[in-house]
Amino acid sequence: MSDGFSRVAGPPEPRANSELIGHDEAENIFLDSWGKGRLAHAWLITGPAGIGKATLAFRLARRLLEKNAPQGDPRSVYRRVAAGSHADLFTLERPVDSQTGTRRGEITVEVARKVAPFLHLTPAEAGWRVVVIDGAEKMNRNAANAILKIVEEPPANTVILMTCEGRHKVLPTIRSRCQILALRPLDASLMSSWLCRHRPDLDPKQAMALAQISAGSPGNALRLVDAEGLGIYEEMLSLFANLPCLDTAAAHEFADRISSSRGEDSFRMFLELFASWLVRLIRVIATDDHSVTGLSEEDVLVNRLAARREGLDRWLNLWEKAVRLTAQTESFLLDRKQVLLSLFDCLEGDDPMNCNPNRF
Amino acid sequence: MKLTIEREVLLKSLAHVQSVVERRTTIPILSNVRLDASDGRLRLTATDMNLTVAESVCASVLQAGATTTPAHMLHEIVRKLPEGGEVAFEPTEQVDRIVLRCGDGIFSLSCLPVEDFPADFNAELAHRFTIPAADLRRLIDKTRFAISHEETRYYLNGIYLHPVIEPKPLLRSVATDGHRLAQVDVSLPNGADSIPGVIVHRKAVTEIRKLIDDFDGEIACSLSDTMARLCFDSVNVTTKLIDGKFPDYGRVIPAANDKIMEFDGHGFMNVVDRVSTLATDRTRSVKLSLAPGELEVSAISPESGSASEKLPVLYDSDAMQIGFNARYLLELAGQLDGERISLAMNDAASPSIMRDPDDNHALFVLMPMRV
Amino acid sequence: MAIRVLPTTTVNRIAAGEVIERPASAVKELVENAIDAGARKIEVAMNDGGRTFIAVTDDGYGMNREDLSLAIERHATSKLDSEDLLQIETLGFRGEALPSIASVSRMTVTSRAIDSREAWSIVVEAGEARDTEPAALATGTRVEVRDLFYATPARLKFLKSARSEIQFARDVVSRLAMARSDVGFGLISDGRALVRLDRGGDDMLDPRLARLSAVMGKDFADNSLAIDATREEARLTGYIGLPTLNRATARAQYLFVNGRPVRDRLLLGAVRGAYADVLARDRNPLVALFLDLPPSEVDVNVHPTKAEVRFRDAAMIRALIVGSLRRALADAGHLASTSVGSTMLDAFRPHDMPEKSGPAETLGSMGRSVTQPSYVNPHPQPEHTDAMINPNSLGEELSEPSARDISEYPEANEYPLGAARGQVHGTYIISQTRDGLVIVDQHAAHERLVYERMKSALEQTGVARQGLLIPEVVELSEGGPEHLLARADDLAKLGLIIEPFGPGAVVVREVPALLGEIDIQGLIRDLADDLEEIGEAFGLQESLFHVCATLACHGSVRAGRNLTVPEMNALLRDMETTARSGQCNHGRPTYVELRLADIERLFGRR
Repeated sequence: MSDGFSRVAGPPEPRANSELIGHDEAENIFLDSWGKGRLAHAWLITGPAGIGKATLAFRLARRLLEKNAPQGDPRSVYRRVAAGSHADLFTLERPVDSQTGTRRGEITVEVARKVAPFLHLTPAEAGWRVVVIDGAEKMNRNAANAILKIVEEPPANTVILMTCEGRHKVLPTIRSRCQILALRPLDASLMSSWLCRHRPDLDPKQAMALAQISAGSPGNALRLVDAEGLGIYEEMLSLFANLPCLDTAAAHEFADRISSSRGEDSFRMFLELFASWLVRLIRVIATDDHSVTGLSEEDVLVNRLAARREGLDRWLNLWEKAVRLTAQTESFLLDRKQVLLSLFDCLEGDDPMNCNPNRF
Repeated sequence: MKLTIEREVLLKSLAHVQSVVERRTTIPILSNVRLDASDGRLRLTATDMNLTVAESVCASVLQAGATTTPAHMLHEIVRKLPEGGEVAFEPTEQVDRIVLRCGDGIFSLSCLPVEDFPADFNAELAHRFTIPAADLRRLIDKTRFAISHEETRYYLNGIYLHPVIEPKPLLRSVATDGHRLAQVDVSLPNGADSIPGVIVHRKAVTEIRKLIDDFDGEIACSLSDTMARLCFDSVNVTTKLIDGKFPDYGRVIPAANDKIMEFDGHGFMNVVDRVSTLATDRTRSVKLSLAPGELEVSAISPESGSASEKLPVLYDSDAMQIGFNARYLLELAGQLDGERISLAMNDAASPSIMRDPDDNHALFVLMPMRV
Repeated sequence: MAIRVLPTTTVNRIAAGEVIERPASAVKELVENAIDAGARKIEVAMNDGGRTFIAVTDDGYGMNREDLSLAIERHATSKLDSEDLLQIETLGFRGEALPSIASVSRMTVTSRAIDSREAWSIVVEAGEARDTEPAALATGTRVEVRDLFYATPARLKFLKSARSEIQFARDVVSRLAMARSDVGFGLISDGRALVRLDRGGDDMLDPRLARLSAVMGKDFADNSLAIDATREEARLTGYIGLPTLNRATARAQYLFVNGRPVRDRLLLGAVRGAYADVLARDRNPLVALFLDLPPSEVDVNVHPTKAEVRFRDAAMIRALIVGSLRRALADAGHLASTSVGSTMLDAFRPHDMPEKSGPAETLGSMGRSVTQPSYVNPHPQPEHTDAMINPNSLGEELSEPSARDISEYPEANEYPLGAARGQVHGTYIISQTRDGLVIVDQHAAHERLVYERMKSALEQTGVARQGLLIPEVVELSEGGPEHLLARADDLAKLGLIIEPFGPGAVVVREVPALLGEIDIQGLIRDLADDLEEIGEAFGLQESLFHVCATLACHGSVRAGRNLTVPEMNALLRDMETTARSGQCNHGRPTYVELRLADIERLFGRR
């Protein structure tokens, strides 16, 4: 019943996604506690972006609502949850700005205040009332306080399912009243076989690389595929292949391409891939864990750089710089090409052995 | 789905259901009205997920089927069609389009699948009874003004409807905003003696009240702890209820107010209205000074000056003074149908009771205002 | 440690002044003495609000027989190592606590020095000491104070109810306890334990954080960031609450300088400044900050009750606090940086509405006049914008009639605040004036109008109260009901009738009719916070108006409500005819004005 995937190109909306992979354990924790009659009234589902938090939340919501549907027709519950038209389900998410048509940056108190009136009315189908808060970390201060009041004194027959990219990003006072379901990254083989199923055009090697760079998050992997992230990633690796030596001409050419013609998406994608690659590199250096040896081009590069035994600081500083520049590029409209060149410059470092006399 | 229907029949029915539909909703399907055609009837359903209104009307159904289409737009179109016309709905090649024809006019409307439409609230509700439309109208009209607007006390945001068995069987509605309280009774319908007390929220009260205007017979009601349904012949209203406990209002109705004043309602309202013109702030406080046989209504404002007017009343207790919000006084007095009004007081700090001396089945409690 | 008599010179350098104002001040002095004596555990017992009995028992070094009799002499202290008051490192530096208390009570001091096998006790009545007598006590000191102020009946009259006095003492003990998590504290009132704070030990949490959360609430431990910053010789440590954890008042801001609890304006202002970008202006963060610096850098001798301090380098201290707090908040990812557009903001100036008695005068003078803004921007202005914001230079230019004609909006010329053109973000009204545009914060403006109206009603006729059919019971945090009920009479004048309702709750019977149907729970909670903070320091009238302001806030148009154009214009006209409507109740502007000239500069047209 994978309507979502056959219908649209990108990942399906979580509320309409009937496929969930890799989170049976979390789902069973919920179902078990329900089965035992000890269902917590508030749940916090945590994990990185694209891993399936909201998909799990809506799936659990459907289980609750199906149980008490008088018609007992799970298909009908599925359709109505997907359409946002189930009278006993309230979804709180970042509101869409009516002018721009895009989602606003935060969950505002105006929309959060609608949760209480929903819970002040009886359930329509004589069963559970379910509130899904998608992106609990996006609630602004007042919105979070409004939700805190509800979580503190929840009405009967109510389950609140929150998703959040990190458990520490929600108010501790809310967190402490929630049962936490931490979703784990999918393991690489599960991911790559799943990817091959949904993107038959990928070859297994690419699927494996995607599994690695998407940090075990299927949503992230699909996004990388659709935004041609894989190509950028491969280009990045070949550009870095001789680090700490960098081919100046190639670097300029790459920076030109990424920063201009194909628009913002490629540029943002590159910075993201670059930062996540640095994180993996730093992890290897910090833990001295070389277990990834030789599986891929990236492993070869990472192991070689790690073996140089340079200070961790340098890479950490570079990572910080990359993250900072990413944010500043958007807010201050920095020159994208210069941002890239400045990062590449740092990548070479102050190595006296630097083989390239023509520094940027 | 393929059918034809008289424009007037369709328009009236759309008018009934469309007002439930929220004008600004982010969920597309909730802007739509559901149309179900079968066995010579067209059924129209609209909902805001808390309240559903459905109506079934006669139509010539050529091909049974169902779809949903934007409610307000459909209503607007049908309203503008020429009177006496015949409206035809026809399917199109595209699943997400339906065509409406009337005379030479052709309208192609967008559709969403019925499976995405909110479920009918059609579960069986345990308690059933019928009530004359006039009785329900009375229960609503004389109490709805007192419904609280304060969301933190959500359990007061509706009318509390419940049976009273002693001293005699009655169906009672109560509403209060904490400053005043309205309590109105009608005789208890058969089968309503064991219904649960329910709090009907404001929007449901408003929609139900609109439907009573067009209706004169018996309304079939069914209730459970969580839902209420009212059937007006072909129109059905089903609503969620307020999930809360209405306060024990009996405790705030004074039983021993012995200072009783009786007066002509019309004259009293005129005087209060005139005098309170001077009280400029939004409380519009007026003072009632009572002496045997006479009432003086006065108001004072630091900015504007003062006003007072006397009127004859039946009153033979001790002289006293009591202050009220003029708006509340006028609203309460406006609920009374008879010519005479009685106001039973205790002192300037305790609740007073206003009622029609000839109607034992409606009373209004008002807390005084003090300066 | 030996007790010594301070030389007269030193004494003279101490500002004279009564130290003991109320039982809580005695408790404060005695507990500080105990801390200075190296106590690990301090027990305070009080009866009848401290009026009849106060006892403070510690397990510190104690005193021997000679020290004991010396301790009663005025200006004797064991705490100054040198005569230099600039080197004050212990808490009760004044050396006058014991004699001061002794002079207004019947006091018994019993003590056993750490190296001694016997305890001694001395009785003082109204300053007259008897001979020391042998007594029984474990190592440490016990000071018993009976019949405080019996010798000064005038003072007695100023004491509040036992409940209030206990509340003061409790605040004192809590504050001292926060600074010293290595010391256990107890407060017993009429046999009931009110404070029980054990010494920090093997708790998983940082013992200081554990202590802070015991006093400030568990939420604080969950929602706080650690601070540790050093600048020159000053070190700032402690914990600050996330912006999401906030209160209506600044009462939960605890500041300590060299371990001494202070309520210093400079420090409180610095905290406010640090949170300015991340917290709504009517909310206050929770903080517990400990500032340690060399005694020579700080003068704690400013005020006898030692609540205020003076720093040698105040700017540096302020920078330390603002800088380290901002950094911590930014690291926590809650700080939204908005430095872009600061130039624009600098051009927006809050513009003071001249106080006028009547509308006619107001209308005549406002359109042109440019008054010096009284609102002081807490953020330093970048230098390059000086020319832009100089009101005087602007005034000259603007005294010339504007060349631009806005005749298509003829009504804009008629009113100082112009004609409303629209509402943005459901919060701000944009209006066009004769020579610029005005942005009004609708909530702040309306709050001000309601406030002024209440004030004038209060002055003239009293506030009308609407009785509640169903009295509303409001549950409050501990201490809340006491503070509210202590002010019940004042609140009644404002139209709010409250009564006690069991422990920790009040019942509301009547509310100000002006406010209509209101969220009573929210109103009462905020009032409790306000009153708790205002306490005794403010004049009565001031506190009444402060209450007015809170009432007004609840009765005002909320930000986020959509207004129609006539509603907006009505609000603007109301503002023009109301005195002091140019700033909200906290002195911040209700509107800002941007002159056409400024706009033109922004777009480089001038």
